[in-house]
Amino acid sequence: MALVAAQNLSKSFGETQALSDVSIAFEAGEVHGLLGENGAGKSTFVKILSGVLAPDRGAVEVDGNPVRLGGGSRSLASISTAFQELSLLPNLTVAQNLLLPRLPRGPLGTVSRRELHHRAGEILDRWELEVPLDAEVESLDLATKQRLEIVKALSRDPKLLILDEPTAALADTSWLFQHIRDVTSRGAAVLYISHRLAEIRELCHRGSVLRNGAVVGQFARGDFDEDSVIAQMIGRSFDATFPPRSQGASEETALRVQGLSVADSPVTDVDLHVRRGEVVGVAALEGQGQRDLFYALYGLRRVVGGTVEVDGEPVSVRSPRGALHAGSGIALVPEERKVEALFLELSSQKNLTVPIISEIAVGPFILGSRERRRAREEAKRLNIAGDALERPVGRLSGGNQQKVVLAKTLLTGAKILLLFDPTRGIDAATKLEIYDLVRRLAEDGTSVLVYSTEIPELVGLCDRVYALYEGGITGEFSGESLSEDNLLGAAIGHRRHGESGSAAGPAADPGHPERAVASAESDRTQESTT
Amino acid sequence: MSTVAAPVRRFRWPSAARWRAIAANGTVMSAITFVVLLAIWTYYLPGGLTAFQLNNLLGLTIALAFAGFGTTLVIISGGFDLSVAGVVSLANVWVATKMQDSTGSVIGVVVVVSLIGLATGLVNGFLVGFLGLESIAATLSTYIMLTGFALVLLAAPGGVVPTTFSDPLTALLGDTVPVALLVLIGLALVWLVLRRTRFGVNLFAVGADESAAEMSGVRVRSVKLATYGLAGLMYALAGLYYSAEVGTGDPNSGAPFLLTAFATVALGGASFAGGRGSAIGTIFGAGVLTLIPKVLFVLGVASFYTSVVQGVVLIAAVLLAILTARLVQR
Repeated sequence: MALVAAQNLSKSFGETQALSDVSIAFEAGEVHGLLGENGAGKSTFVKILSGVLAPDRGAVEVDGNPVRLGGGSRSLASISTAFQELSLLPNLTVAQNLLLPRLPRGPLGTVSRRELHHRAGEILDRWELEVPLDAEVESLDLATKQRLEIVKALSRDPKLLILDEPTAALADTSWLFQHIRDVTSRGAAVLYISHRLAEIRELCHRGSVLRNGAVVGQFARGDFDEDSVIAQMIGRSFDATFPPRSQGASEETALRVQGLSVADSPVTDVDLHVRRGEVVGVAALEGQGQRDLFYALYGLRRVVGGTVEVDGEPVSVRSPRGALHAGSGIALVPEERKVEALFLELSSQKNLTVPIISEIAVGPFILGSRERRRAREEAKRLNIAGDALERPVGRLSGGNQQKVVLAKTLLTGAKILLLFDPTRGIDAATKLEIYDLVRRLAEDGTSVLVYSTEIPELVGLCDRVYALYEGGITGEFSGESLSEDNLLGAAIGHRRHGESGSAAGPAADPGHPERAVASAESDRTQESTT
Repeated sequence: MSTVAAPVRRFRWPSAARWRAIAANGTVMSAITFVVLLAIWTYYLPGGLTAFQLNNLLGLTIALAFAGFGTTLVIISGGFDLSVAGVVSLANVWVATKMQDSTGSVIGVVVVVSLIGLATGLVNGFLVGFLGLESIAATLSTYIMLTGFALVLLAAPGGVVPTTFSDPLTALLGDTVPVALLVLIGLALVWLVLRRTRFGVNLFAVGADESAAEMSGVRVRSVKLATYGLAGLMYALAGLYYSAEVGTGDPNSGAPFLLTAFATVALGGASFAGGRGSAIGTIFGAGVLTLIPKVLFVLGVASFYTSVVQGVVLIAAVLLAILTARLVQR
């Protein structure tokens, strides 16, 4: 009998089926790997197992007994989770975070600081993490926060330990892997979620692949084959995914950034350029300043140093409006489409036509016929289903929503596009359409700067890729040197592969990319986006 | 200042993070503002600062301090609470119409009024925490309802607050120490204990990040219920103390508390986004707000300008906190 078994779990949000009929059994002493693209349903699965979300159907059994789900994580003592988005409270201390919600009480009924520090200190010793107990979590760097989140989950001595992308901010995995082996040797099970196939191969006894909310494949240690797993993840073979690159971009520089520093962010002294018709990528782990970089170019962050040139003319972008009017125009597809790009309650066609509202209006009145006509034209160009136009955009699938965002962005007429993680949380088919679209745009002379959390995507899609680490460029790769290994190496601060990398940010320390002992006073800490 | 037995340590300039913490600490900022204003007032006051003057000042401060305390709790939890005005009005009217000049009646009314405040807060907490209503909408409704009840009890200003109740609260102990000062110190101690309880830690957790708190096993809904309940109780105590000070009833007496309570919280440096704040900062903030008209008076400025100056000081204090924090961050 399995130690913990998820049985026929299903969950939908609105019209999106996030999880359908997923059953996975976790055996004692085994590490079970879970693979899947963004939006495949991994997070939903984790949230249900952690007790945070209640499933629509299905059950979870621990030792053969069904447990209550959806009552909050405290209701499941036997399962503990290190969440990808981190469950740490930024304004509490390390010690408080470790022992929440059961802080030890002294004789007065108040939290006993001595006992709190004693117990938290024991936990940190036991799991070999050095952090000042008194430090507020906010002041820690991202890698340390990630370790703390992991230690917090480890310290509950669960029967099932869930690690959701635990290495997203960790350059060195040996510490983690050693403790995972500890945990399994004591007879607990581990659910390990990562998009790094090498880790899955090294660590996992078994695994499952999720796509569109369903288990589409299973593997065991002996028969792990990367190509077939990738094919299962994206639903087709890997090579066919990306459109061919164009033959030599123009020599003209559309966007040139020199010495850019952004206020209240790690971004310091960044140099980069994008030629006309070129697709340039930015590779970075979470929270290295990529968001600040993109948002600053669109006028949403304050620039404190450096210059930005569009088509050879210096521009000063202080607002999105200014960005759209800078030279041939800069437009942004932001990270959170539901919050930053769309009016969820309005129909797709209303969303689409916002940038060209003056074209479809006569005086103060919008002409419905013109709105429909223009929206239809755009929908056709981006292959948005016709019946989607009338519906509130909030009801569409992630893929269709993102197409509406792209259509809207293209309608601004801007010739420089900043795409921030444009394929986040959308299905594989739409991803392909977006890759094709980006290529077509580039052929037509649009210049694209794209950030993606998925490094393989950058390798497949881009002509050239910069690696960003702690707010500085640590490498620039194109042609032969543009490989996943090189990008990852530069993105975690190793500069060994940088062929023509510009000066790294002041905090990038090539010899010691990761501090083993956390600095409580790191000013470069960047909150991870949740 | 007990550096006597400390071992000789090389002086270390506080680190940037430490400075930032100090600068961003609203308690320090509002305490400094209070002390400066108090010094100016004392300097210009004919005859200097007497116990009588101090008692007068604290008497005006204390109701606001209670109201601000409750508001601080809700602000830290990430919500807004407008019901303070309704609770204070109803408490004031209840005291002015129901309280008799006997110890038994005084105790009875104090208990009933406290329960009214607590119950109002629990209703707010239920609406916000369990039903998921917007805190402004929920507490605006209870505010309006309670004001209605107050008008039913007492249609126009009037009634008398018995001296059995008001005298002890407004007295000078041994002709030197105002009771109000002791109560304020007690209130500060309550805060120092409260924020060290499990509830206190959970409160800050919920205010900083509700979903992270939930994932960490904090019972978010219960914490909200308790927060609003405790705040309601504090508003009731504000109403009781206010009644003791003014000695009469007015169905609209709570209305001025609405904005000033938020002003004390802002002066005290709490973050309106939740997760940061200190009731001690708020208590000093209440002192600042009551000192301003007094300082203007001794300086010979017409009282019409009081509100203008209060607004300016509020902006200045908040701005100063932001600027210093930013300056130190560089």
